[in-house]
Amino acid sequence: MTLNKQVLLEFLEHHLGVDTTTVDEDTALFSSGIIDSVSMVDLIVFVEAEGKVKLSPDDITLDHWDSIGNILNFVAGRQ
Amino acid sequence: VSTDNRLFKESLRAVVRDFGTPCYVYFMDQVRDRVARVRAAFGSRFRISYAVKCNPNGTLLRRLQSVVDILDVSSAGEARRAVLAGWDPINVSFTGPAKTAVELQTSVDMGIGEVILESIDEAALLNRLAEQSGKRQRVLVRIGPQRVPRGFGLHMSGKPSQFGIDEEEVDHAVQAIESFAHLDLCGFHIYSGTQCLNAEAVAENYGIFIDVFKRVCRTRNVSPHRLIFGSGIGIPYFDTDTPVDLTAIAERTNPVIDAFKQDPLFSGAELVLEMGRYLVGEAGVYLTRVVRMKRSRGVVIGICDGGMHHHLAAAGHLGTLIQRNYGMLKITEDDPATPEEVYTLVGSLCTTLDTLGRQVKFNGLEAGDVIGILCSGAYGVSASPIHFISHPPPKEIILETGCGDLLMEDCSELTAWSGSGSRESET
Repeated sequence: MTLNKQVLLEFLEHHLGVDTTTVDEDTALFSSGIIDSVSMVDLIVFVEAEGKVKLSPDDITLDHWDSIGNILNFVAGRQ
Repeated sequence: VSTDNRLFKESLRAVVRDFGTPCYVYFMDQVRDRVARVRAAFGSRFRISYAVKCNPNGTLLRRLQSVVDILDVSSAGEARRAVLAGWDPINVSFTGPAKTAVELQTSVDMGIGEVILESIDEAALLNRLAEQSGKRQRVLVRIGPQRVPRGFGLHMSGKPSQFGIDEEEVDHAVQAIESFAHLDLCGFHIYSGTQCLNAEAVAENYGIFIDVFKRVCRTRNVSPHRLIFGSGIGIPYFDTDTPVDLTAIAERTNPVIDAFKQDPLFSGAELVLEMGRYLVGEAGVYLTRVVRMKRSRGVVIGICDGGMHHHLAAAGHLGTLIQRNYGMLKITEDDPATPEEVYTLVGSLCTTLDTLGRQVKFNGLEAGDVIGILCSGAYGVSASPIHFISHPPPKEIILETGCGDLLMEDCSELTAWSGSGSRESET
């Protein structure tokens, strides 16, 4: 599976219980409170596996993880 | 700048002048006002219980006597602090999944109002201890519900949890607890979610509590004396947060409560709203002074005399994966002509973990400036590793209006480790 917007939206909806009807690429996920730390960990683990990237603690910042667009950009830069 | 904001800054400057930095400041008037708002919103439907774990300062507990109805403690230590602060133990409830035999014995000896049971094992142990003491102990049973609404942050529902008895197993547990001759089962307790800013979700959660209470009580034909609702109401820590609409919660909840109380099984039940940070969180400020400025590879860093050893949560290490900046305010006079710049604020500790803020905007920042970190009244110093790196603990100052003046009192209780002394910066 390749990581893309649709895949991330489906993960948010089905695994993290997020109502994604109003979520787009730029929607703030963490700083807005849509997902909490526990869900963020699940999301990071999912992205690490699906995006085939190895993450270090320094990679876990809002700039990289706060929206679907940020996540896709970050992963693209690391592949 | 509003008058309130000007007065707020002036009172904080007075604290800095008289007590120095770093310190925590608690505005008692704001706590009283918050409780009054909660009472106005829900009328007489709920009594209010304060969760001591969020701020166990002794002077605060003493002053809360005339403000809230009940204290909820999570250790025998907190129970003793409550009594030392003048509380009648009958008005104290004791929660926690790891209560030891010693703690349970202490509860029985002290005459704690209610022990909140989190397992059948604990119930059996408490029953034996009460029997040996020739007493009957009032107890509530904490239920871990299967469901919490969307919109909650950290929550414990539907997942494996150390807290309470799983809803799926509670009928059996209640039957067992009813059979213990030295326990008096008085009701139930649910605290399944916290720090929620969505009024609809909070109200929906109370609806879930009521459904669970109804089902459990009807199944076992228990007419409860007391039902405790863990409020779960959050506060706006970050600039993207919107304060929760308390009136909207009450408008949705009050009719549901009124209908619930029509049921003869529940008409005698006293309902309790248990809350911690919503009452005191926004009423606290942590003050720290910039000791030194540094430019490093394009970033301007303000190095402060406080840090994560006093305020773990602001540094992003308490229940969050990614640090977000708390609201911050420069307390020292601003020169309005100075353009806004972006700063990183770090604490005193020799670890990169000690970062209090990233990309914080101020109209200039220099050594000697004092920064106030807002929303610091709950989960502050008592939830921080104060001994790490052997700096002295922060002072705690409580402010309250009396006879028309704002009175400041040093209510510090924490003592420095031997040798850690004082390192107060000069004004």
